[in-house]
Amino acid sequence: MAMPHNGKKSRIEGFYRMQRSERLARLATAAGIREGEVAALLDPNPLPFEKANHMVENAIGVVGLPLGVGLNFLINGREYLVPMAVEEASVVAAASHAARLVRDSGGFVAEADPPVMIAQIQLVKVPDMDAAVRRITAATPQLLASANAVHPNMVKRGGGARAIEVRPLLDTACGPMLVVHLLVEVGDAMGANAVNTIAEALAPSLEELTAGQVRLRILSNLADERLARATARIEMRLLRSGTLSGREVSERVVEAWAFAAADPYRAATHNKGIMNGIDAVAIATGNDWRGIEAGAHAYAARNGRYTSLSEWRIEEDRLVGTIELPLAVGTVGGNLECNPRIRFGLHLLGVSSARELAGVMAAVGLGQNFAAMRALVTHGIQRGHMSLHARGLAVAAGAPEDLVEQVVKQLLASGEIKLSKAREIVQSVQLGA
Amino acid sequence: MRDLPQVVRCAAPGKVILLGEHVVVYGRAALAASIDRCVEVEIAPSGCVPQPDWFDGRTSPPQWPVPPEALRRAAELTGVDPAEIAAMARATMPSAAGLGSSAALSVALVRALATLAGQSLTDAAVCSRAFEIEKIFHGFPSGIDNTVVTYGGLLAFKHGTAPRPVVLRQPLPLVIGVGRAPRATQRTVRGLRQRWEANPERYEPLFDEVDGLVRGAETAIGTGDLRSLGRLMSANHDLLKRIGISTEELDQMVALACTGGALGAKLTGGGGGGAVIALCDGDREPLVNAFVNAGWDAFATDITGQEHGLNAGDDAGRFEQRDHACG
Repeated sequence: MAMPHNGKKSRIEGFYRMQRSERLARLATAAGIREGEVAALLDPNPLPFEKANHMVENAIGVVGLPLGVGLNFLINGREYLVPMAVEEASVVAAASHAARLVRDSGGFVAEADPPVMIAQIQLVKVPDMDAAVRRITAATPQLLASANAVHPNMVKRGGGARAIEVRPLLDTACGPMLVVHLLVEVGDAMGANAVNTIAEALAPSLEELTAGQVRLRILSNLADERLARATARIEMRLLRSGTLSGREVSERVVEAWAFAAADPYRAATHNKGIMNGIDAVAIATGNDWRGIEAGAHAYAARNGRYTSLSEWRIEEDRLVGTIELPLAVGTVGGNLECNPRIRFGLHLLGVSSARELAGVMAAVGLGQNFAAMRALVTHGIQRGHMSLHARGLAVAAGAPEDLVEQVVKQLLASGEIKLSKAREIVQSVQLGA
Repeated sequence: MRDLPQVVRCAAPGKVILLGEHVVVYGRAALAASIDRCVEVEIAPSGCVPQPDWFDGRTSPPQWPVPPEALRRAAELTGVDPAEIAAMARATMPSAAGLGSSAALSVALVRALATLAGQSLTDAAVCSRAFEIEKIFHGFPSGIDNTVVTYGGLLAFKHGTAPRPVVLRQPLPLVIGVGRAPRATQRTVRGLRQRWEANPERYEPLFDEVDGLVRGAETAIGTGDLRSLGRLMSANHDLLKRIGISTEELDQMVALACTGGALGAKLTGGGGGGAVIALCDGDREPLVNAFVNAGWDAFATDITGQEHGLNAGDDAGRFEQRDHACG
């Protein structure tokens, strides 16, 4: 059993049974969260309207999403308390449960490529494609230098333009065009603004070199230069469920994966399960989850057919899962810093770089994937959903906090998971109480 | 002092830092392991030149007299009169490559002298004496080399805690490629210190990242996940590049290893030159040949987590004493 290395503790027993105040107190101890930071969570206003008004146009308010904590995550020998913002029931519980099993098997191993973003510059009406390719290739050092001149601070922090790739697209609906990829290492920011600015700055030089006309200058969300990977090697003996042995459960998980690997209809749902976890962390840490989604699904189709982002197999006494996907995420940037809840999320998670965040997100995605498959191949997904659904109904029916458990139990036992039934039970329980 | 009409031979293994070199100096974790290559020391009464036929007429590896300063210090620590003895060393591994040859020499020397003096030393005593000798070679050694070389096996290091043996689920098959430029540990350590002092905000997060990779590697080693381990090693090399420890030659060697089928590769040790380690899966000969064809020395070795000893695979960690009539 690996020992926690960063002074945190992500395994907090009975967390789900605690009152909110107790949960926050335990997080404060476990993650070194100070009282002032907890205040950001307790403030009934998640984001001041004035800030929201600066973020989008025609602002009229702020929408709330539940924020939960994924527990038990041991990744690269470090403990992580994972902030997850998501509206779907079971996601946080499933992630925590999967993380528990992986933890008891030694933990996740995760890593990510350096944060290199791709900016695309589209050139049309290029008179001589071959000559254009040659001239851009020859001018690469100068182009990289002028790209770096745009963001001297980025270079100072160790980032900067790394390479230029030229991709002729000969057969498009509008005839041949030349696409130039500029690879820029962006540091701990997501990097969209930086690469877009650089792409714009290089446009005139590229027009000159190619005698063509620049059209689009924009990043690609297929950020396959910054892939994140995670591996889990779960001891099969931990997977026993009901009458099924650990090996049987593992074999069924591998069968479920093989289904997704072979069939896009299943792969879409399978990958959606992965993104349940990744998006929840992305939202809680202020990252662009649409960009992440776009990159993930494009990457899942990189070989011409949409398939699973994860892979599962059995190795001796272990069920082994791996995942690889592009994760263009940041830990610094304006949007992150002006939102107090997001600052809280990042602090709770405690990552020191964008690369580390990407590795953690890959691990969460893999854990989420495993949890969903395990549920599907054993008791089915509805059981967990239903008990959380029942809890939601109990609360909606006005059950006071100390009676929720009792109402949920009766509601589940009744087999009639409806609001009207919940109200009925709340009334009878209160009368009895 | 009792009579010393005998010759004592003693060997100690070299080492590789698997991950975490340099950052370990800044309180982060590192993993280091002994390898099945060694340095052997032979001590004889002075005037009695050690015989050149140590190795029974087999191809003679490089041998050289133990540097007098090191011999003097070792003798002093043991309470032997340095004027009474002479010492030769020979190695089955390259020196100045970041593979711990000076630590191996120091440990072998300490053990040989203790044997000569009839002292029975604990590993801890061997280790601390070897550290004193290491200072002659390196000024301010980290203490990792002499520890790994003394105890053998695979050890996890972290400042302020005792080195911890790591259990392997399976041996780690490595190819070690030796660069033409020698390692320049003192220069790289000093340079990094200056860069860090000038800009800790830039370097601290990078050190933390390496720390994460080292922890991940320990998990991967414990679960037998060679593929992840390889990627973590490559990621560590990338970070070593970022903190200014690598060289063009080392980068080329790492690239050669990764395109040549290795699961991952990185420089090992002090950097600025020296060697790279590549984690392999399957037949290692093609990669060794690829290194050799490109003009680099290379050899395969396994990290087994076991102690290594004299001559690959021989009685591990044992040192021997042989009667050898002088003159």
